[in-house]
Amino acid sequence: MRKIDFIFPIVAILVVLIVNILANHLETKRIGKEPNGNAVYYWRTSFYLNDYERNFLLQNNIKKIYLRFFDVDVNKHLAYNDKCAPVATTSFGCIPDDVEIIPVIFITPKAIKEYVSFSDNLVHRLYAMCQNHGIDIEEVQFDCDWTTSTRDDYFQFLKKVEPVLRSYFKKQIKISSTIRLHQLAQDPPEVAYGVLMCYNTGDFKDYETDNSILDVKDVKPYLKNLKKYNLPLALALPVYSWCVEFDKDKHFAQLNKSDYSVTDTTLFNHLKDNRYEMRMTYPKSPTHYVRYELPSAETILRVKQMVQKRNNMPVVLFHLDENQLSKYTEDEIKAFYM
Amino acid sequence: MKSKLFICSIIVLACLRSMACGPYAPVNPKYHDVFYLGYSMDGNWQEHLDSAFREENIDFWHKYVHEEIPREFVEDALYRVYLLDEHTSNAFFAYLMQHNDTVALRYWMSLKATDSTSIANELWKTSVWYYPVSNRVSSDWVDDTDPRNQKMDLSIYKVRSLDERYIRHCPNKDIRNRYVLQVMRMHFYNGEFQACVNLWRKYGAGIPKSALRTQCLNYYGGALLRLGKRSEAATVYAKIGYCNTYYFSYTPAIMREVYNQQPNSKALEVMIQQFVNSFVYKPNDSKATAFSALADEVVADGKSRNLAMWRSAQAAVAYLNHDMESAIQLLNESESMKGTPMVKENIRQLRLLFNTTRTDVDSLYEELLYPDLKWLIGLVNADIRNNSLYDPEYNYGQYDAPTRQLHRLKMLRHAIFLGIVPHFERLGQAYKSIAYLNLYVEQVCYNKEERSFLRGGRCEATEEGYYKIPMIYRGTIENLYSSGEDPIKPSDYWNNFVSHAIYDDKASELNMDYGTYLFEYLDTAKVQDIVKYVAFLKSGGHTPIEKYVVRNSYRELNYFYEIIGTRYMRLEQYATALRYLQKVSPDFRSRQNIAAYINSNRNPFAERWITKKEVRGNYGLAFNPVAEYAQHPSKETFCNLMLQLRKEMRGASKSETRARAAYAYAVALFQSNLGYAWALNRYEQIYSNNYSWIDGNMDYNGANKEFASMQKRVDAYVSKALKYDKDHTFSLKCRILHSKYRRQLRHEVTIEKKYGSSTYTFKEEMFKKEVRALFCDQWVDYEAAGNNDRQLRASR
Repeated sequence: MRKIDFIFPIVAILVVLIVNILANHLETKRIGKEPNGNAVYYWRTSFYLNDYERNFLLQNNIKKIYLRFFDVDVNKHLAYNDKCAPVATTSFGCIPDDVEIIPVIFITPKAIKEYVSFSDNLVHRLYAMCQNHGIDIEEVQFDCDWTTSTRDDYFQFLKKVEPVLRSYFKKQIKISSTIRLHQLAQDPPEVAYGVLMCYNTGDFKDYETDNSILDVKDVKPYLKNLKKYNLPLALALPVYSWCVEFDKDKHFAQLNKSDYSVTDTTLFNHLKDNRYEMRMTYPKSPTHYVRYELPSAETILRVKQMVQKRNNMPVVLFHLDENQLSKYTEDEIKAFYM
Repeated sequence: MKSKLFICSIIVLACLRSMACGPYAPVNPKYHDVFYLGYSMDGNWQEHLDSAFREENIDFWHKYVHEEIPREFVEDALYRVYLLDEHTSNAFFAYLMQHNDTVALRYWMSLKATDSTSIANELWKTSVWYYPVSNRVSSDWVDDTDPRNQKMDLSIYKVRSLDERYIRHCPNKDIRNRYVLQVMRMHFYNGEFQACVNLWRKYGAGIPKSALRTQCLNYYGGALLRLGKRSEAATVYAKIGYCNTYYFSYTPAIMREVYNQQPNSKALEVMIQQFVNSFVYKPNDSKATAFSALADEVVADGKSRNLAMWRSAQAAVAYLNHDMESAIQLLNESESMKGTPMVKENIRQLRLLFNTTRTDVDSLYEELLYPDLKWLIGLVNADIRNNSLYDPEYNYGQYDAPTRQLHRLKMLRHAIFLGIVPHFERLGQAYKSIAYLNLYVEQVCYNKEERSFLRGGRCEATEEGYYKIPMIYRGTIENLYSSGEDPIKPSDYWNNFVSHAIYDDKASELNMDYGTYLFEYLDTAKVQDIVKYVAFLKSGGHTPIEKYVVRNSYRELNYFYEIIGTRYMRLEQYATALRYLQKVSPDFRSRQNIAAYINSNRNPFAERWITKKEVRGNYGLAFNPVAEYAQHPSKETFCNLMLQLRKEMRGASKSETRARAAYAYAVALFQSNLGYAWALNRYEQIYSNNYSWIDGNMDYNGANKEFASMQKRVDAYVSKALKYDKDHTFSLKCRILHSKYRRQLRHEVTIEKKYGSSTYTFKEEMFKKEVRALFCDQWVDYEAAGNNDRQLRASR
């Protein structure tokens, strides 16, 4: 009896250990490991880095660029079996040697709805682009704002694209996916890891929205799903600004991503906070009011803290652009990555 | 097809540039693609290979069916039938079916399946998903070790219609060999380069020497190259004579690899040639040192049968790296080494070139050049005579010329333009520069017997890259034609738009004497140097080389006197101009390019912008320059009238007369340079849109300076006129003239705005109402007018 007493706990511990190891192994195989290291998105249609941007990579020890290659969208002029087409393909300048390039392909919700079998074409094009520009890839990321109605299509696409990638690149290519805040409530896609996009959190068309790019109160409700989310994640934080323009009835007019100076008092009256009124309007332009949105470093850090409280994730900044990044100090950028 | 179109466009562009005359610009030393020649390239090698195989293939299958099927049906079956099944109606295949030749039919069915996949892949290129990929592995200025320059397999559909079993199980030896080629081709096409290489190594030995074997080796070499085995590829290519590929890397390291395997590989000849020529674009000290070390080793080793090639290439590299002393020493060494005839010829050409740039032998300079220069001109002349340099039926012959002939021409050009001309300019003896330019143009551009311009010589007159002024900024002659002012006579075709020569077959009517380097030099050199040159020409030369140069140059004194006279006219030295112009024969004048433009309709004294006859040309002088010029329109009449006006301007007792003479002089000065009577002072119409390029940037100064200087001179006379006569109507006339020549600047403003460098704003004020009332029956709105000449014609 004494002998049994002695063996039982040992067996129990061993069983627990084995089960744990097996479970971990299975989980790792299914969803991969979370990424590490500082990274940045590049979201323009021509990939040319200026001195500032090159320096930015060096200073912040950035080893990965998530580089948008092209978007996939529906083209109504195409035949039924080839309804989707690549658009806004990025043109390339010099590719930095010491940075890993991770191609990102944005698939519009419409395109994924129409998805029949563009995975072959997509991969062929991706392969051609990589070969043509001497980019050796280990990973590819897909970006899609899928919802419950398109989830199955997107997941099916991800499943199908993996062997195609392997056959073209003649090696295993890791697949990652962007994860939007609202997608946290759903089952995760079967990919190596996800990048949680903590931006575009508000409704920019609503005049009453304070900051549609990033607002703590908009992010908070989604985070309750984070703890049980079964996929390693990286965190994408916004470092960009835009101007949301409204007509004189305060109806949304347009989103202006170009950088004009709202502080120019000859053009704008400052109303309050980030709201401006145009002093004179142009004949064909409806713009009357402007909301200038730039997430403050405090907001970004606050959101980061909230998200990382549950999980310490590596940070990816969105996106590499001197005009935008230069609005933050070096210390602030370092704090985002820290 | 695209490449042919591209070449044609380049040629046409080059010739468009060559048509109008303009300032002489120094030769661009970087434009010289074959500086060093050790191997005569065959640019159409692939084409020859394919056509040889095609013929052999048709013959083979023709014989296979015992010639019972006409050859053309066999050819159709091979190259025009894309699908082979029971519905195929071709007689050749019908024969195979009738004879139940399953071996051949099996071969053909698999082959057609391969081809249909290729077609599918071609169709892929029309897909929206297609991303264009460069087919170039590398070129001579791109590092092919960079993976992004290496061709990858990007076909979407893999060909799986064949495999090695077909070879193994084929009972017919000849068809088996054909399977080897097809399976290799399939692997190559699929990007399975190692499989392609393995297949050749396994079965290649059994294939007899034939076009088929060469085709196989071509795929084998290509596969090796793509696997990064460049030296092995080089050896394979050398075996089949395919040495002119630009896909080779020609670094000293690769050369060493190839040399170690095959010291006499033909590939080395190509690589060395490419290596040296690359230095013209991009000198590189470390590469030069590495090559030099290798060449020294090779020479010491003595295994090469072409040691002179290594040494002379070393010399050429030293020359291009500006190490003249070593260059000469190495070249001297190479002369006594064994080498191919082509290398020996190249050494002599290099010696000529080196000598032309020597600065340590001033007194012996020409004597040193003489034998080699005479020899090279002799070779080029022979090449022209036997039509191997220029095709007499084709305007752009030299572009199709074999490499060796083209190289001789380029070396001669290099010697003259980069060596001799600048040498004499440095010594302050520009008349000698003229002499050698004359020699070159005369020997290379003209047919000796009748001195007609060689068709291929047209390009040679103003070779692309040596010519810095693009035609688009020099399109003045086209403007003239579009205005349709003069009746078009045959002599008017002169250096007008190139289409006359190409499509209308009027090449013989072109007077290219005003469109060559020689002319450009004469048009812009100091007039005193031209005078000195004429004296030199008349003396016949003193030393043997001088005598040779004179004897072989264009010696038409009328041509030189006429240019000297015109150059003095531009300087307003009319008395001196007359001395030279009077020596020009009427016959020569009638054959000049500008003959049609010197006529009474282009009267330099007429104020063409004033349409009321009672006001126009009525200067109120004792003589009427308009009428007098109209009687005998010529350069001499113009000079005499200008002298007369100057006399009045200075000596007339009445200030009004002086004022009117000054005004008339200003009108004529303007009209004869920048206006309608431009042909008196120019050989092309000058607009301010004549630009030149300096180091790739547009240089306005060439034209602008001349323009500004002319304005100042006209301004001076207009001010003089205004000073002597305060009459309101007269002063308005002066101001119109002023406005008119200022208006010419509008072209300049347009161009500057286009190029975003405008700092100049010009506001024209024409006093429209008043001027209209006084001078014009019909007002011409200058602001709205696109073409000044057309507007004037409308109001004439």
